[in-house]
Amino acid sequence: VTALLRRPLDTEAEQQFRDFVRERSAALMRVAYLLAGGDQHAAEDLLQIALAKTAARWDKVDSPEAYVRRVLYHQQASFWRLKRRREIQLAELPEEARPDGTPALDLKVTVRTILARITPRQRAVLVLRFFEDLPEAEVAQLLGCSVGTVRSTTHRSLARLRELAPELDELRTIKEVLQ
Amino acid sequence: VTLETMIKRAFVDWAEEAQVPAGLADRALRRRTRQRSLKIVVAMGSTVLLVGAAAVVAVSATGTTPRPPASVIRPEAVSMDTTLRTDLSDSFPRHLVAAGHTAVAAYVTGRWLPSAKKPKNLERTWYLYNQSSLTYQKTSWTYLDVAPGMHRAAVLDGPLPTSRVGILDLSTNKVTRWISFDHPVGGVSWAQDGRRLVLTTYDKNPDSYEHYGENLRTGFYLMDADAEPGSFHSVPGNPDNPNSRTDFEWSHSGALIKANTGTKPYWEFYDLNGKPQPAPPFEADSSQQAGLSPKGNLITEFGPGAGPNVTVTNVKTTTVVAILPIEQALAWADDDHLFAIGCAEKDCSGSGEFHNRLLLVGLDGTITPLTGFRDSQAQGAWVPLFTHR
Repeated sequence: VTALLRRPLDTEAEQQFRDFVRERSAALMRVAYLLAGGDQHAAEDLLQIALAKTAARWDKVDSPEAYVRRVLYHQQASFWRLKRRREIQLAELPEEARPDGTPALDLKVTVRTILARITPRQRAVLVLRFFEDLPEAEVAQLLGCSVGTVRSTTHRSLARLRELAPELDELRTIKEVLQ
Repeated sequence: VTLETMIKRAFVDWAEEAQVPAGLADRALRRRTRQRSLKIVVAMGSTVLLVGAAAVVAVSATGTTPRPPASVIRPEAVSMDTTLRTDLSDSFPRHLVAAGHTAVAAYVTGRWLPSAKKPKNLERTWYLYNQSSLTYQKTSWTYLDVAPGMHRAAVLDGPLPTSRVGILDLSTNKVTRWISFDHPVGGVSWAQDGRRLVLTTYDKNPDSYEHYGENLRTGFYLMDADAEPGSFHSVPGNPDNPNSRTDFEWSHSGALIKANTGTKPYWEFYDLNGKPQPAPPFEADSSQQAGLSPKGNLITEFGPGAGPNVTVTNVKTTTVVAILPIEQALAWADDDHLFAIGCAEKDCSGSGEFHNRLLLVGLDGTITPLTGFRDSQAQGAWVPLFTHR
């Protein structure tokens, strides 16, 4: 039984953990906030759980930042999947924000609004690809899926954005530009 | 400007709104300490069981000893009727939806109150199939499960968790008995025999947004619907599981109970005294709600690819039996058919995955719509509860 109990962090390790949180919490909170679809409370909970898990494995983790990010993405996917498992529908329905014209500022607001409406999984892929600028292979590794799945999810997510906001039809994707 | 650039700009602007809360490190370390304390407290007890991250304490009995598991479905409780019943109207189903041995015995809608933007509590509205009116009828119960045979339901009323559970007669729509409990109950599940119930107990309302990320489960009771309840079993939720509601349900054989884990493997199993047990073969591996087929030889899993596809595999030979163009496999109607969510119609293309309906899908690829369409992502969308009819 004793072997199963977690060893407390010693003073030095605890200080390292505190330093890590102080230095990286702003960046990590931004990611959690996007994953949570702009819900500050949900983002705080998400990050807190990820940090607790990181603290629990502090002496075994080589790269705390990579580990906490991996937990963030996995935690978010598991949470939403199970919450929806039987009868709970959690999707947030933000108010429509359709711009009258298409100046850049309005279009950005539209994009943000519809990013809150796509599935957490789709949003996670878009956050990794376009906010964190990770290549497809790294996204696949982080999410534990194939590169093909990342590619198809990205494609479907972009299609979903256009479906929710037809005004985005005026914007071409990089692939379309290259073609 | 490309679409990707616009997404990046929107993300960057949006992320700037995030506020970094004070005391993140303290809270993370406290949470970690709480986990450790729990396990230490358990280790002090006389009946210590530690498996993985799950801590279980057997608390002294205050009631009768639970009965041994029954393995036979009461023949008079279930119908041999396998008539296909559909309700294709594009609103909430009014008439029975059923196929094979399984029926939609009830459905539920969920709504965050006071609003989706300021969520506090999830309020469910249950619609139960009434055997007298032969229609689904709106009820005021806050949680329920329908027994196989669809003659009675176990119901909870008032704010969750609640101290009493009712047994509702679905012909008369009257509660035939109320059972009181010392530990408040938040979830209920009937066994396949239509007689035994597992009642999950919680500290606080497991559907409160304020407890997001906390696992509030305290344990469970077992009871026979016609007898006095058994003793309370303390099986606290795993603090690593961020789901505040982790109800116990019955395993495929009905010999064990199980609860979701929040990660893979998807289920953890316990015997009827709350002692952790290894997962029965193949039962913890699928994230799909349908689980194992009635005979226990087939299992469903999402994929391959983004699909939507669900693959049906023979667990013993590992042969792929079918790849079905559905979004989710919800329940087995019989050994050859599944209740599923999907669209599978040409006019659905481009309307998105949340524009879907309940389907009956045969392993031979035949697809029969069972209900009208719904926006499954919207607040207040209806979600089916399946029972052996």
